[in-house]
Amino acid sequence: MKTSGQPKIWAMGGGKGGIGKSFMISNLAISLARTGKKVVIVDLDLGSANLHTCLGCEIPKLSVSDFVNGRVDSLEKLIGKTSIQNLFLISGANDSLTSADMGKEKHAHLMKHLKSLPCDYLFIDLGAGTHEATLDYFLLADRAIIGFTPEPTSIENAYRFIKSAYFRHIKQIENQIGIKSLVEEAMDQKNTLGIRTPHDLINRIVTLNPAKGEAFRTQVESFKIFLMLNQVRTMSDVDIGDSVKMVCKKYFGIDTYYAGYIDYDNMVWQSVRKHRPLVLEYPHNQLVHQFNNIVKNLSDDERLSRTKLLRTA
Amino acid sequence: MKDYHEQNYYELLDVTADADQEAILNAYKKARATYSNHSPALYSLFNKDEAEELLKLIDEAYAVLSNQYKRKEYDKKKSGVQIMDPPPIVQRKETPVSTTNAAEAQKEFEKNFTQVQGFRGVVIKNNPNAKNPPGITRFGRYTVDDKFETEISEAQVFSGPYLQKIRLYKNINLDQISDFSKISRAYLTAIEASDYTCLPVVVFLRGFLIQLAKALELDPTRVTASYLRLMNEEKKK
Repeated sequence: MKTSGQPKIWAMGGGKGGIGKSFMISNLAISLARTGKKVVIVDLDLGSANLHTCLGCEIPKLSVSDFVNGRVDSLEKLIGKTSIQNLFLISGANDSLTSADMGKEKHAHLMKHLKSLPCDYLFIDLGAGTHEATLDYFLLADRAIIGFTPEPTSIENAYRFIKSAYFRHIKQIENQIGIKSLVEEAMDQKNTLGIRTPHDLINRIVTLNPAKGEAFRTQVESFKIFLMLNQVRTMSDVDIGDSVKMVCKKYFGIDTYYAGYIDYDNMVWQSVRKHRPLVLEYPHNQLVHQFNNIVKNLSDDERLSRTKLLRTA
Repeated sequence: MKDYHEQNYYELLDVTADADQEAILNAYKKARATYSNHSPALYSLFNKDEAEELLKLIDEAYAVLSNQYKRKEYDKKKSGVQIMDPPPIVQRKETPVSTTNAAEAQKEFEKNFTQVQGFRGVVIKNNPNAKNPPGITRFGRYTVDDKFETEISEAQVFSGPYLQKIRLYKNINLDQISDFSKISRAYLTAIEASDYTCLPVVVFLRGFLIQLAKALELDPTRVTASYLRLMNEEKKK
């Protein structure tokens, strides 16, 4: 595979399970691969991986845990072909039953090698929940995408995920800059410091350490996320994306980018049952256009940087 | 990044300091939809009281920013208090580059402002000599007539045709009210025509009138009481 430098990383997270994260990222990957980019998609929903099913691949023999446990010496050997040209899969299937509890060093090792994979784009599918490792992969991404549906449960978990990722991001910066960490305490909702929202936390840190405070604030504000809404049934569902964007700004002070929405469609479960990606099974479906549009939105660096939504390196 | 209590009107509506009326109206509509109490987007972050408080702040912000004069006043005050903030730039794209000082820019702006774009692409031409700024409703703009404004504010009797007159004066059409209030056009037409036989029972009608009054920015209590009184008198005959 011929490429130029490090791959761009897109990751899909979002708290709640069953909202279609794997479905969305696999179809985004297909859309992008069809434009001629080399895309490797890696299933890091360890312990409940099923990206290979979404992509309609055979259950692969090798998986991420083979690399992590040293049975395979190179991550590249895990890369398997899919039925789509330019799209390759590193599966998490058939991993050892304890792979979800992998230690920090192993994650760091994996992360390092993922970043140097020979491809244009690296897509990461993350599991539900807000484990530290999940958040770290999410924060690693150039396009950190939150998937959610217009239901209260999903939105609640999405906010929880955003909050956890945001606090993790703050903690990383606290370590980098070398200031006393308040995140641990703030994460406890009933903390005695009176810190309730990220605003409070940042203000508190800036007050405690004015010298490094501003550098800290600038770095914290480099946190950018992208929203993607699934299972939209009505026009007012579509607007929920805008509302969530607005609430994120008000509550967290985070700029988000509403990348787009995907309609609710019965063709989705029908294609999953046939073990065929939607884009291939129903190429004329409206959803295919929606995926293409989102890919277009998310890969338009120029437009995104104009709206100040690209992470400053 | 500030807590919403400390945010200025522009930050509350999430618009830039040079946003035009269209942008402010759109931002306001989005904000209303976001913080009204049944929006799922609020769930688990803002509770009901906070959402209500935010709505109030947003209404306040819109009331000021949507009014050209109040906005100017506010901008002045704001730039006086916070020297850190760049002064609000009230300039249009058409403004020639040669315009250097603020007074000239302001004049230029006002000249451009004489022809403004109404809500649904309707161009409202204002008399450039008129003192009054264009009146603004949640639906768009209208030309202010001081005499009629006073008449409305003192009016005690709100008959159907009078409500229609106010609506037409404020340049609002039935579809806009219907979109806003979710009341069908048929009922709105019947209310304006005082066609009591086509109207629903009083308990519903009262609700409709309240919504209509809100859309027209009238006092709902006065409108409802007056309209229902007229209807009862008519029915007794």
